[in-house]
Amino acid sequence: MTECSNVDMQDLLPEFAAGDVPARERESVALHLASCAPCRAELDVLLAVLNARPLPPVMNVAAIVAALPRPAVASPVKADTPAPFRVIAGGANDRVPSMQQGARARRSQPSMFGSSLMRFAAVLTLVSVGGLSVIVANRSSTALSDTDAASVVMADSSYMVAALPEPYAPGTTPVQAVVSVAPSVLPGRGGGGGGGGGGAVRREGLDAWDGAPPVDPVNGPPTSSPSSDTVIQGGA
Amino acid sequence: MTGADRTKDSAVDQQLLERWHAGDERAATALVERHATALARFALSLGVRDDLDELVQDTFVRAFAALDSFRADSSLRTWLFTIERRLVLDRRRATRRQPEIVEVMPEDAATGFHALDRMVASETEERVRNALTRLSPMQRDVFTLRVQEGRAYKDIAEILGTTEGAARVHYHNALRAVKEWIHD
Repeated sequence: MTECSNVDMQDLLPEFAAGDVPARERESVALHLASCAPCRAELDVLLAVLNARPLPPVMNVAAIVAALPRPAVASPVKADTPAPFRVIAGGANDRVPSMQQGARARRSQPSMFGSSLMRFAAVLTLVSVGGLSVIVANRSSTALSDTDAASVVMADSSYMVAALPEPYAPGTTPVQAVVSVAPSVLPGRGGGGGGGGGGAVRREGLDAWDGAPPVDPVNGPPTSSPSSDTVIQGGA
Repeated sequence: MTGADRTKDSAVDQQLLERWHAGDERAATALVERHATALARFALSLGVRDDLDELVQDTFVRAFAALDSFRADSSLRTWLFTIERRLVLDRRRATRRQPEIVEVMPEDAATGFHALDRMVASETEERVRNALTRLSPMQRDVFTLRVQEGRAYKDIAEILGTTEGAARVHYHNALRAVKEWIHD
């Protein structure tokens, strides 16, 4: 008896014998078997082997299940529960919040310095630079070359420490100056022009300072009332 | 079993495994019910006669303990067969190291019932069983997995640690031999 050359049909025979071939394929296998004696002989052998299949004893399912290891179920985590934040003290097992959570947390934390204080410091710096510019611009006429520190009164209500050109050295006497800018020299206040160009800035009484500590120009009241002219007060 | 049936079967197994991982122990019962009989039958085809319950139980215990290493690219049954076959081989190796002690029990005597049972068993079945025992172990394993368990060559190659092509060759050689011995 010659062998069948139809490999696809031969491959399907075990499933055909077991009745596991889909209907459309079953028909084509049946058609092939009708015309192929070697495949019919092979099918007879396969059916005999299937019938000789040993019948296993009934398994005790409950006993098998009882012997199985238990599933390692992770503790349930609710999706809507916010992740707890802890102070990270260097422990490797501490939970570290994600970057996004950290950013959110940082945004919600109060800043170390009040935002108003920081804003005030920024304004102070700007005004300081501006005041120093005024002084430098008028340097030729006001002769502040020996001034080491200056408190500047801008207009009616702005106070600042204008500059500390050199670091304070013990044993030396700082020069304290308070500059008041008259409203007339401020832009839009009486046509004085910008930058104090039209105001008369004069130095007076620097040598007559009695050495009394100056009033804090930031926290305290101005040491002199704004005058109609820009005034530089101070002493050495 | 067709490819579609196998895919559906694998999907059911996968769902049961996920349920078991989630803590549903009833899924374990369902999985054991689905595969225990096939495992017992495969063990019989491997020549196991003693402690069949214990072998099947050990197979499940070992499989569930190593479920993390189960790859979904093969079916769960194929993986279980692989584990069971390894256990059988390990037992055989261990048994070979021990002197064989055969205890003859009263129930082993050829009672009237056994004699009748043998007479009723068809002659063809006896011929088939005898023919299967004459095959080489690899031929027999391939042949029974293919014919009696309906496994594809790919699965057989995985279970037996061989290639698909080699499994195909073993099958055809076994079929030819069994056909010849049955008709002797």
